[in-house]
Amino acid sequence: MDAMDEPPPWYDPAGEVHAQFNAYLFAGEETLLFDTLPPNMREDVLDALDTVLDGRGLDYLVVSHPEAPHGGNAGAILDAHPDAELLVPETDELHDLALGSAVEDHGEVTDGDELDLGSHAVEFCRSPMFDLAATTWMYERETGALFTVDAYGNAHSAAAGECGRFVDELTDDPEAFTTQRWLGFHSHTFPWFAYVEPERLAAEIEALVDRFDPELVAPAHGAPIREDAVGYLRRLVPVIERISDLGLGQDIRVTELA
Amino acid sequence: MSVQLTEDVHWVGSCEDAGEGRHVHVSVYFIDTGDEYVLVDAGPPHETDIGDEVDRLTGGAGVDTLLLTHTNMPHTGHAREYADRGVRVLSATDIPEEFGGYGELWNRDETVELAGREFSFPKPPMTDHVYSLWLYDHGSGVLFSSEALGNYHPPGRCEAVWEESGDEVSRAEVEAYVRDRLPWVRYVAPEKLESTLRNRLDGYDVSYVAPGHGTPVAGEHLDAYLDRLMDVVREVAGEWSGPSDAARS
Repeated sequence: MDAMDEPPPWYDPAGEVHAQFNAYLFAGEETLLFDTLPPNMREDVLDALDTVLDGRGLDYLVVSHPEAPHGGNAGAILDAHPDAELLVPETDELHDLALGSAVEDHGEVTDGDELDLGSHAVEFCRSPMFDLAATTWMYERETGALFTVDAYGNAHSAAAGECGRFVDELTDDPEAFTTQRWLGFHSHTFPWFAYVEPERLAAEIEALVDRFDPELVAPAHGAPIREDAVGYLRRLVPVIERISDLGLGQDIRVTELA
Repeated sequence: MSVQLTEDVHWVGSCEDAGEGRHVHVSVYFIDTGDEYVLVDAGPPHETDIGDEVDRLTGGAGVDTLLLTHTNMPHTGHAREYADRGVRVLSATDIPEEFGGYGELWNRDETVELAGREFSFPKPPMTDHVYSLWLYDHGSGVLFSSEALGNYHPPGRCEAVWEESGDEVSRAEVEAYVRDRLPWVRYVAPEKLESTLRNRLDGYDVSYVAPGHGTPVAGEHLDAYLDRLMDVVREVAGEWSGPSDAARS
């Protein structure tokens, strides 16, 4: 796998390159929202909740980690849905600082905690790839979806109509997709990948496959993966190996998008 | 609290309870460049003492420029208020609208003239968050290291600065901080991190390292601090025997 000197085929210089921000809503017997979108999308997320919930309340709001793009609307959502229970990762850090005084009353989740939503059931799991230490991933049993927060993201071309697409709608070549979209994203998002022993994160990925065998991968900053989810989970390993080989200071994203 | 580090740089911090009998700094630094008053980071949202101290240091004039090493809490608590007051806000993120729409972008590894003196923004060799930058003030020689080079401290030593004995920061306080805040070190090859970290620091003539969450370290003691830090990194990384161990740590 090589960093590229030329822009990748998906990049359209005439159009915008978009970063993606995803929140995920379960609207079965009980309702749960995973992440809140960033503050500049406050009206979007509140409107979407109104539309999908159609008068129902929100039962749970889960914030994957106390950072603006993921938890920046927690206070506003709780104002609109005051009966919702806020759940955040277990941490010694003062995560309520990031979320505002309106959310001081919250519960904490840790690896292995489960939540029965009636039609759905979620399990929280320790994140092996994170920016803030206090980050939780989540798995949902009915859908087989693994919510990977900052990992498994990608940029996309708005001009090419890639907004709101699944990975299988963006490519039929998984190897090319990961080379062209994941190398830059992950070197940028996880600068500490530059120092890692890749086999350690490979072991973490295998542990997740053994534990959940997911059918969907649902990232916060990329296209959801609904085909060959396990294959895609494993395809991150050579990306990590390449970033580790390159070391810090190699901003691959610049090469990808320049 | 306010501690003068150099002739023109003051450490204007706040302290939080980090549990288990420990405190953690949430620091703000004030620079008087001679031309302008500059603040490095904006503190947590509930903290008001910092604003009072800034008023004292500026004679009520307030700061002209705010430099954010991070675009997330607790570094940005009052950033919006500064922006609304007309303070120039420079942000490390390349998507400042995500965080409220204020601020100008600064670029990594650039050296620029700001507030009448040169500042460099080295890409952090050690950080938690991609949207963070180190900041080096060429005038004072202070390197603002954001999340890196931090430590917890015991109550009663909130204003200590590592200047002489080395006892100002214990190994246990560095270790606890690294395990809690930078747990990715469990995955690293320590020699890769160490060479990058030392090489990056060698490029600057440092009077003080001024972390966001730790005890400022005088430049002459930086090697000793790094020895202690890397000893911790080697221990944490050396404990790795698989994902199950990571789950328990």
